[in-house]
Amino acid sequence: MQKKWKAKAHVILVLVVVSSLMAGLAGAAMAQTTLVWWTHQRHDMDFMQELVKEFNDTNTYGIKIEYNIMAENYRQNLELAFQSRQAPDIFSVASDTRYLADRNMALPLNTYLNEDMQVRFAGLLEVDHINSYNGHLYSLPNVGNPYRLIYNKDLFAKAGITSPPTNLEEMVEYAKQITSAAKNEQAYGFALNLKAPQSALNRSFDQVAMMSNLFPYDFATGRYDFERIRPIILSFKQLVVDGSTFPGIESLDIDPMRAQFAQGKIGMYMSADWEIGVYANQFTTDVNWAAAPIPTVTGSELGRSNINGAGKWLAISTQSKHPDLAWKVMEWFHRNEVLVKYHELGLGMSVVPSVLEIANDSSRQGSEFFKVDPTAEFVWPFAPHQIGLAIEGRTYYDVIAAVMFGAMDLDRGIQDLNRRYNDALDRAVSRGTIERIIIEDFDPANL
Amino acid sequence: MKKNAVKPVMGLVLVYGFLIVTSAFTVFPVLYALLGAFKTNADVMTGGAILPREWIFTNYRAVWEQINFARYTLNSIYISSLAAIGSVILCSMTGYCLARKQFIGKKIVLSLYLSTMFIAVGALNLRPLYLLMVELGLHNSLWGIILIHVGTQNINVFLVSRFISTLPKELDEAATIDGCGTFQAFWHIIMPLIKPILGVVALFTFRGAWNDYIMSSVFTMTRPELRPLTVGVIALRYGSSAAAEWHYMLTGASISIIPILIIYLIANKTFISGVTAGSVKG
Amino acid sequence: MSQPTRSSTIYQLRHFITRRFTRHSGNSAKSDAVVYLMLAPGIIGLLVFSVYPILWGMRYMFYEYDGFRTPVFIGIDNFVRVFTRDPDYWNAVKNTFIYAGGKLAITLPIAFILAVLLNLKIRGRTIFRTLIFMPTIISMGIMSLVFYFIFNTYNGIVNQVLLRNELIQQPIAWLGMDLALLTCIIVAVWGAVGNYMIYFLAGLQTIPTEMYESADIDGASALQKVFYITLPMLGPVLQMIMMLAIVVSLKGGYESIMVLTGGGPFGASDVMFLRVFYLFFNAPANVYFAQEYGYGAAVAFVSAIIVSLVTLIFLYWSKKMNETF
Repeated sequence: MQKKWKAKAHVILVLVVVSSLMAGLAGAAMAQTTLVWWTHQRHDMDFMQELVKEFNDTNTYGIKIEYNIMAENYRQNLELAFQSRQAPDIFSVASDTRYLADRNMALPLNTYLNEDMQVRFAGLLEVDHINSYNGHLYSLPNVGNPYRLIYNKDLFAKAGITSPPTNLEEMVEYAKQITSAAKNEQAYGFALNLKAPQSALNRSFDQVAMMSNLFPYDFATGRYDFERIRPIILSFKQLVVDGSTFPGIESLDIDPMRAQFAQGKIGMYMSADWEIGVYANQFTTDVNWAAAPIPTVTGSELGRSNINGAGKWLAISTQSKHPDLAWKVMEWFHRNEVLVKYHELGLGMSVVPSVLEIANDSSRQGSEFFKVDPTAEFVWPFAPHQIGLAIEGRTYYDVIAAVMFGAMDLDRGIQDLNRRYNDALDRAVSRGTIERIIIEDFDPANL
Repeated sequence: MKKNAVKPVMGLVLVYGFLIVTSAFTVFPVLYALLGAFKTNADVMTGGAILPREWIFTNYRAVWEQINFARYTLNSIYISSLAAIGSVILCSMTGYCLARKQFIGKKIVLSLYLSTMFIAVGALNLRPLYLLMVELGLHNSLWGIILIHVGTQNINVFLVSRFISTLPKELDEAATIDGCGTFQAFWHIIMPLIKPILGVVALFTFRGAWNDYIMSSVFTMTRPELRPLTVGVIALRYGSSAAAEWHYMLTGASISIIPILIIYLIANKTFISGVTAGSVKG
Repeated sequence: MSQPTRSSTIYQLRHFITRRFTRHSGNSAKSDAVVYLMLAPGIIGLLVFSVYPILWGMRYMFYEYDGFRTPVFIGIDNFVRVFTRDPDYWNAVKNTFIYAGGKLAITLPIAFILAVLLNLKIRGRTIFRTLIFMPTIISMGIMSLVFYFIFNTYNGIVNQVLLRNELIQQPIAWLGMDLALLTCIIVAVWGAVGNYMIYFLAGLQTIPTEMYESADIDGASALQKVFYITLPMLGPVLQMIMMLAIVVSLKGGYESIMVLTGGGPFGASDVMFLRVFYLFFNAPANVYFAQEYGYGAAVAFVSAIIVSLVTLIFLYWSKKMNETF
């Protein structure tokens, strides 16, 4: 195979050229062991890169971290890297732990864990599917993202509303009032980034359902019951029927939505603490905004909303040639000092009690609205559809969006969802690809 | 070509009217994109106006500092030009054999070309090709990407083969009868005559390789320094913030189109030369 | 070979070639070997980069497979699912036909007219060619973002212009349920006109000038020349370009649609290969991951059959047309 040989020769040539260039740039300061770290997190880039530099300069193990941010297709790239045995040594966890365990991607950390950590992370180390699976611990907690209703105080004042809605009826009513009060500015009461229904409704609809203890997956019985979310769908639909939603939300993306909010054209929407950075640095705004707890259906149910992504951060690859050194890195980055700073900078809301005890509140404007309230939120367990249950046909997010816009009948939609989700779950369970997650006496208000 | 001396003015007005309207339609969005390089991110995302509300001239600098433009551009030029050259050679040779020659398994080859053309989809091919390249030791190198670009020219092979089959058979038959070898007949007779379509193949392959995102980003995932420009430009929208930095992406794009424009102007000559010279110019 | 010949007839060419190559000798066995050598790169490329990955993917048609864990054999259930349990797919198929049909019906005539006009020696043709080719040089992914804002319901330029000129009273939801597919077609046309103009231009170069010259002598009008010389002479190339256009428009477009509407709202602009892409590669905003290689392979296969049927019907029909005319 002359061709192959030739191609290989070229590869070698290219590699030689490239590497000599790189070597020239990097100079002689090569560390003994290079550990590759992949992350899908980019909001903390500046902070993390500084830390990585500090670690590289000061560590005594001869470790040099190569920190690589994967903006897109993180999970696919990671899978491919594992399949071709080129996995990074350390990677950020963007999935549930069963996914990691099934694919043999992450190293169990149980044996590495020191006493200090066991104390500091007490109560946060055996969260099934989040950082543990089958008694193995794969990742350690750091921060999470609590959800809120984000609203424009100026528009509220204009419509004569004094406080944010606590239930859906109020939310629908306020949205209507804002829309009619702000006709001249062409502002609207409510918005959703429905171009991607799953992204839009997970940050809003799902949180309302969780707060109202009406999540469509019943953890007590291990079955889906979409009848529970009927009242929420009806309220969301009412927003559209009233004309209180921002024009074109059916194809609205998240960033244009934020830009319009910053322009004062949107009364309220729901999202997590990522928005703090958006309005502080990116879409700087004169809008007087605030954030309130996610409203519930009646305002008096007992549920709690989810803290997104909490309970996990980094994992060590099973393919790492230096797992012990990788653990040294993890240890260094999980020091209280780092976690406290992470929290104080407002890069996320810490869920670690020992961090919260000593950390100051973030000085970032807007952070004050996102303080984790343990009585109103916690780290929800994963439902099967959140850990890779393949649903035939549309997701419930798509169906809700379609019902909201009258493109589908509500009754038919609910029936159809119950059938498809439970069928999919039964089938997956019988094929052994997913397990039925059952938490007896599941009560989000008392956990 | 003779001038149509007595062309009525009306005709010219119509012709130019049509051309101007069409050009306006095609150019307006491009302008919109290019002007995005002078907007703030909020301005881009708010939309509603083609002109920047406030002209920002710092985007170029920010972008230049964020990614290694020179390096990425070199990578892209390397990939795209080799892919274009390789494709021209491969398409012309294969197209010629398919159009003119009989060989064992021709039917099979033809139907394979046809059927893979129907089914090939980037997303489907990515994983097997990547794993294959790992086996061959060509992953993480620009050669993997180049070979794939050159190797997946099904449509162009057909196109070139069809162009060749429209040429009078007498041309190369004469050459062969007169003792000219197959390759010489191809090289000296056919190649010059199919320059226009080869220009198209080169241009489109260059552009395809230049703008390829998904494959290139996966193949360079473990070696960021090998990234082509498009991957770098698209990655620009992922800064250190929650909202994507679309203004940077548009700024990057406005730089990255320049090389393709140059290639286009060069390629344009091959299909602008006019018909007279085309037939026998060698 | 250097000197260009002024008037090119086949006779002169043959003479010219004879002069150049008379003293070469060749035998057919050698030339056969040359043919295989010339074919080798193409066939290797075909087998390695097209056939192999397709076979790799297709073997999962009968499995439930997430791309990593052990595939579970499920017989023909994936196909049963395509045909009986996936109305969204067939909605996407319907959309694909509208999308491809609309795109071709608008693009090809415009591109052809442009090519004919810009093949004339008129003033400014390089500028016009460049301007019309411009759209194709920026990746459609990026340009689709621009179109997203141009067609924005709330304050997009299209709505602004229409409202200002009082052509409409209410803003139009260009990316809404009713018009999303049409908007995607418009964007596709925008991105394709330049390409097909170039293809046609290349094709036009194969028509000997003499034909037009003699037609000029006979006093033929411009339109007559197009219908009696250009189109018939372009026939075989035209057929290939149209086949290409059909395949590309049935298979392509998903990158642009992904940015414009993501296939929505509610599947209104969903197309076959966007489905395939999502099944293999997952929707960008999908927070919960469920990759379906097995089902994706089955859907890709069925889609490929649909594309091939359409193309073969076209080839059959165009052959018929050739025979009739």
